Amino acid sequence: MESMEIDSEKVHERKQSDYNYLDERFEIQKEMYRGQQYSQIYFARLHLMRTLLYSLAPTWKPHLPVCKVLGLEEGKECIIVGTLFKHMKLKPCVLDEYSKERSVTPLVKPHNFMHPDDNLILEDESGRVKLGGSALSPAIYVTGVVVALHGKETSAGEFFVEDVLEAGLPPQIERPIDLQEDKYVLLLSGLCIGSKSANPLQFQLLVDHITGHLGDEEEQGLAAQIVHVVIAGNSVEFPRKLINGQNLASKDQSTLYEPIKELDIMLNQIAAGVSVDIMPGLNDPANFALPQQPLNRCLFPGSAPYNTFRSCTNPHSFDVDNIRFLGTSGQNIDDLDKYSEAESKLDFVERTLRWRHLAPTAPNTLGCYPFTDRDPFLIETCPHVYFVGNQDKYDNRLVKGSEGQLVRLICIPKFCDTGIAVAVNLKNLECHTLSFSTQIS
Amino acid sequence: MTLTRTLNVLDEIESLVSDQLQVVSYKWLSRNFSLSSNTAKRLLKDFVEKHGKGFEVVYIVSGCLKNRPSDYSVKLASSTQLPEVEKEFNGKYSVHIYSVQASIPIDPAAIWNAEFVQAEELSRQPSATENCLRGNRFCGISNSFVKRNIEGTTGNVTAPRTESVRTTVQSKSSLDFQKGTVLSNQGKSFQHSSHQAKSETNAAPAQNQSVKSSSDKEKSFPVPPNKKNGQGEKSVTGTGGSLKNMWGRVPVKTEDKSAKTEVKNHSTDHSEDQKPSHDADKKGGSDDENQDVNFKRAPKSENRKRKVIFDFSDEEYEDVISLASPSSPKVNSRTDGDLNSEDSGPEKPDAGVSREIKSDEQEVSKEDREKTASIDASTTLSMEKIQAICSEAEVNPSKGRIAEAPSLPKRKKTLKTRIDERGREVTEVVWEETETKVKKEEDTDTNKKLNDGKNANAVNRAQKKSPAIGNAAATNIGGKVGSKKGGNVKDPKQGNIMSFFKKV
Repeated sequence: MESMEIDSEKVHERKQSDYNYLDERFEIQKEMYRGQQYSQIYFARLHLMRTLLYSLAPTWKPHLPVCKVLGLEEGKECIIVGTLFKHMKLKPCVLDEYSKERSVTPLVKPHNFMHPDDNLILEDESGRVKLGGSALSPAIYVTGVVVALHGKETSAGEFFVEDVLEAGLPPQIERPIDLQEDKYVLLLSGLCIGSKSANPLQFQLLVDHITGHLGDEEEQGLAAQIVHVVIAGNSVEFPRKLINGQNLASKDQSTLYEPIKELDIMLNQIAAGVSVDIMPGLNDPANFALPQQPLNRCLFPGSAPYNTFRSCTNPHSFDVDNIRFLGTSGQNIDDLDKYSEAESKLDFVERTLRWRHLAPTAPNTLGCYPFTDRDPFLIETCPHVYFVGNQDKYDNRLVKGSEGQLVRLICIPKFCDTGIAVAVNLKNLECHTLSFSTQIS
Repeated sequence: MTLTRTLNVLDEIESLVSDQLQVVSYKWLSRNFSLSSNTAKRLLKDFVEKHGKGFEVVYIVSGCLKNRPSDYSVKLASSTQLPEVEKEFNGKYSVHIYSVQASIPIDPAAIWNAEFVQAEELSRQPSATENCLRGNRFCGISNSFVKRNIEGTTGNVTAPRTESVRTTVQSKSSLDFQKGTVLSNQGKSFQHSSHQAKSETNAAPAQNQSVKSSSDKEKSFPVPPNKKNGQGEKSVTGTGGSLKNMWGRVPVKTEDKSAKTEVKNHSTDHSEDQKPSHDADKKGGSDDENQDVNFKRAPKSENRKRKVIFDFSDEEYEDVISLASPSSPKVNSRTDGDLNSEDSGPEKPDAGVSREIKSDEQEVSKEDREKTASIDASTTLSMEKIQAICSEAEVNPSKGRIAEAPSLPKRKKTLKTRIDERGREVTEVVWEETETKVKKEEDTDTNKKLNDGKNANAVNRAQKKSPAIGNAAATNIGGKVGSKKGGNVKDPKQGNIMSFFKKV
């Protein structure tokens, strides 16, 4: 090593932060599957949310009584709390495969299953009631959301909704105000190593930037301010045609493990310099149902020995310097996109926050583990940064809550398509992008 | 950096780029010559200034774009594109050379290849080795809080402070052990493997019944308590290496098999954990004599047998296997009586020879079976034994049957049906020779199933998988799986098979 060089060069010291891992609630090692069905998770969800909504109802509409669905009387104005169910005509049903006439189901699956005839139903443990009125738009709501409704029963047996109360943003822990220096958390997702669209050079440039190889000394100083990196899902992509139940020829086997090997070498480079979390995504070698369990450490023999490397669940929750982060690899928002509509993805993200539930469509249309006594997707503490990975484009929004909560919502774009990673400044929750382009010719 | 060194490097770059047509990126340069990245960039700059013409240069421009001042942007540009790209940036931006190459490839990703090959090679080094890939060297940012665990011992400096204690402790402790197992398998050829790895692979065969027993010969270590966990991982992570080695060490198998016969005589008090180490001991000791013995027996068939072994992992197989060679009892009984006078008798010379060889094998399998009776049913050894038996059994029946036709006049086979103590109808093959009868009694249970499930087993054998439960159904009429052993008849020391099937 040329020691003379060190004297003339300035080597920056990477900034450090406190890190707290909060994924225990998403781990399912302690869960026992005894053949239970999904009703239990719905019940747990309803139970917890209802307690919450009952406590909010007096401040919302103090003069109205709260009653159960079965206790509805015609003409009596009251508040009912329950789980919404959206009846969708186009929602794919497994029984359609067995129906004799297949004319109703289109051969090409639509991306969005909405239909003007969709209607909402409120359900609690005592019964269901159809919802009418224009206050509650079926286009916005999805099955699985727990809300409180103010209205009255009509003669037709419907519940005419006059007003809706959502749980709203959960309480937030105060953000530390005394952070003097800029510290960044880097968020990226959708590396898709192994797919045709992924450009390894692009990822290498990002890694070089993070580790401080790229740029001049000043830029390396900027990179030294990155304290944590989170990779939010879809890091590898395997060619699907190989996974068809047949034995693989040895030459095909290399196409299976090459992407993981490449990812491991890149993660090794990152982990050697900075703390990194990797979350599983839809295409990663992890289980399908949410909450996805951490990718096995054996997949990363080069990176796993580092104390900076962490394999995390999806959804993932953690603290950096007491700033709470919560995020997913995108399945929850993508599913909302199929069953409801919004102007931008951030609207979906904000809705999940206001409904206090990460994935309301689970287990209805989103694969989920049948929890018996809890619903881990309920958002109990409001995060400071709420990110969603594998989106089409970068977007961010600052959301203010009624009690002074401040949340930065971030849609992380797919890196393989856009070459963009997102950096969040812990000091002020500002975020900016890092983009890498390799267009030479 | 001394001038001479600089010049040397520059010359090397030139030869690499022009003669070998390699892409020399600054990162590749820094790793290859152990320079810091910034030095490497300067070197490339010098190189371009000196030899500029004739080479293509790729620049990297990084900074903030004019139209998006808050976002950081990094762009690669060829020398022709450079002026335009630079215009897009505002304020302070940096330009330096990313790589030099003979020609710019169509796919920009090809620039990355040489660097990746270098990184791959670095990652393939034994995990205990510190290298520039793992050590975060040559970059502009240092991080003293990064630690790397190598087989349970920690590498660098202190842990990052204030990481939540819970997770650190848990992850580290499980990590350490896991790393120990993972790392010892990873990136190391079997020749390389550490003691720990060896001891674990030592234990592994007993558990996995796979050819990892090849390393049994080496020192037997006290098996760590979480041996099973380690092995589980080992089998996952080490499959590539161990499977290959399995093939490579095929001859060892014979020794293992015969060694097993001796090991079996050990007391049944051994826990599963201890057994494998005993195995190792024995195998080490008995290797020599067994080797001779083994070679007498048809080595070819041994090889063949070895290949079919893998899937057996159940006590049941022992019975199944012995069942699988319906003719073997006959042959065995023959050989028992004929131990010393084997060469006489055969009608056909080749059949006789094959029979002789086969009978040796049968003898072994018979001995195996006998010893089976005396061993704790739940030991892992029996699995290895099963391996031996089934492997022999696999090949033997065909041989046995061929040779069977000219049956020796000495023995007469009779079938006796009786109701045993459990109320099951049992058909036994009884040879009139007393010697064999003695043995037969010991083996009644195994033979019971032998005869009962002959057909079923023939089918199962063909499949190379004989799920114990399937056979149990076939062989035990109304008997429970657990009682397949018919343990009552056998040695009381023998454990209950039910222990093998843990209640969920």
